[in-house]
Amino acid sequence: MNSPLIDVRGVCVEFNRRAQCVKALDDVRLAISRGESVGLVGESGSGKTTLARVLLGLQTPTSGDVFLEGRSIGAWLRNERAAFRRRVQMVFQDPYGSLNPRLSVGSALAEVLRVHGLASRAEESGAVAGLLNTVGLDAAYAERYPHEFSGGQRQRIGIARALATQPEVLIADEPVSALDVSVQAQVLNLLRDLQRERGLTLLLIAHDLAAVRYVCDRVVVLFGGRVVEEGRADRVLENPEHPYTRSLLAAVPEI
Amino acid sequence: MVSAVQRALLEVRDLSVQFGTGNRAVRVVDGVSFSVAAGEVVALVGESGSGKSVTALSLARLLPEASAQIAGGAIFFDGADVCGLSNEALRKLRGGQVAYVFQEPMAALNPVFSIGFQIREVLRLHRPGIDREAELRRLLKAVGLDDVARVAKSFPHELSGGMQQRAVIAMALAGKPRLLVADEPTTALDVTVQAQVLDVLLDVQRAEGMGMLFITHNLGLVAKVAQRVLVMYAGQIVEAGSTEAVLKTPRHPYTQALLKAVPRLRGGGERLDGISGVVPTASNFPKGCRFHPRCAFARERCGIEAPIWDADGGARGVRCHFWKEIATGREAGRR
Repeated sequence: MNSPLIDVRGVCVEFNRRAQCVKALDDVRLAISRGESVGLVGESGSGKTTLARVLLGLQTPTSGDVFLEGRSIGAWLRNERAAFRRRVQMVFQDPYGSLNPRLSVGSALAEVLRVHGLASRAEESGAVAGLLNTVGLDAAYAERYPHEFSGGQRQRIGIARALATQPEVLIADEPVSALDVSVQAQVLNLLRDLQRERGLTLLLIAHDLAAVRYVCDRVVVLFGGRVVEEGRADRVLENPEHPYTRSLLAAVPEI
Repeated sequence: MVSAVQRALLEVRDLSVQFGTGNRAVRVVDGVSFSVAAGEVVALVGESGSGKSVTALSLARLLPEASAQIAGGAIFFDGADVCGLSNEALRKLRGGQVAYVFQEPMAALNPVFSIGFQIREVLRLHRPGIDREAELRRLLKAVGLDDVARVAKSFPHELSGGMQQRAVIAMALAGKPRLLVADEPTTALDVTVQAQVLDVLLDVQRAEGMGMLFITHNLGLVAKVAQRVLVMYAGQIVEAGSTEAVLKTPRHPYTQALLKAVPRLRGGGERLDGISGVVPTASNFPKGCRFHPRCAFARERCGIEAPIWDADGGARGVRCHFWKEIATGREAGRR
């Protein structure tokens, strides 16, 4: 019996707005094994992003806890913050907002390597070139600045930046929703290949159910801060059991 | 074509729109022709930068004239040339004959006036003499905002995104338009809300017998709403035809590639064929066929000579040198 890589145990997150208490997450339980790709779906306000923030240690749960390799995230952050950051990385939705416009792509990637002590000065440029190649970009692009790239290329750079620390867990929050339709497939293919080839544990947050089905083995449906359904992607999307999942699927316009 | 032209509510002929002047002019829309009949829904599909929104805005001359010029072609609304209209006539056209629904409801609504006030304002301008309170009630009910009294008193920020977009649709309907231009009207909404708002839009379109130009990047939505579809790429229409024909037997390599690039909810997980490269910007549209650098079927001629519009009698047309050969090749591949 493998113990899960990530174990979310009864996590609640409450936000207090004036006298009102908003429950963003309500007793969420979820176990993710090493090498699994999990899609997190739900509408805005369902708690998807809050859950991602909890997993990254950016949001402390009101109650409950999250364990990575059996150790709580709180303990990771207190004792081995850098190691935790190396192992869990994030790809953001907006490729335009998540890169420093004043750093060349090469320096942005080298900075990650330097902060985590992953490459010596001499090795840096080679490592940067390797990262760019991994995401399908020319190594010569290291000299260029973010504004010189298209949205799809920037998203690849965002993925390269996340991969720089050789993470075990990659959390991607709506990674293609800001991209042109013709470019979305490129980035979905990249995520799928990386996950399969490197055995990455991938958490893909998306409202596009077809994209989740394409990339993920398992789907978790969030509604009002609760997990209302989970299971194998093909099973959940072909035979949804929860009425909310059904309404979500019925609402998708199909060609 | 001639009979369709005579009956068309909107007819756009060889429209070109450019930004800037002299040798810095950039032609964003280049030679676009199409028509929309009363009661018909036509979808305009394209990615960002394809010129679909600029086309839509130019229909009622909503583009800022200081920076954007209609460089060629003509727009006829109900037989009258929109380019020749006086400011007075344009004011009547906008909101009265042609109404718009845009992507962001919060940007279309004035945050400091109530919903009721904003709808009454349209009624006052475009339909003087009508019983405004009764019409306000009718409009809000038509878009599914049944709690009329409360919604009319509400300010935009007090409503959800879906309710805001319904209010915007009610506002657009208030002038009794004959053509509704909906530019990505559901893109900013959650899927379930998107489906509801879409149903409302189609219900009122049918009930009022309006023509509708529905702009989207989502091919799934096209199948649901439109009888005809126009596919735009890099400022030009590259394929047009009935929705069924275009989605089932696409002729242009771009349309084919676009359909293959979208993951499907049902069916296996076959690898998606992404389209390589990026959507070109208007200042550097490629020579020859504008899609050729990204096209899997491109040959030498494609980079030299721009393909002309190849229409086969009816409303079906395509802008590609080799579409017939490509279609035969696909047939052979299938066998």
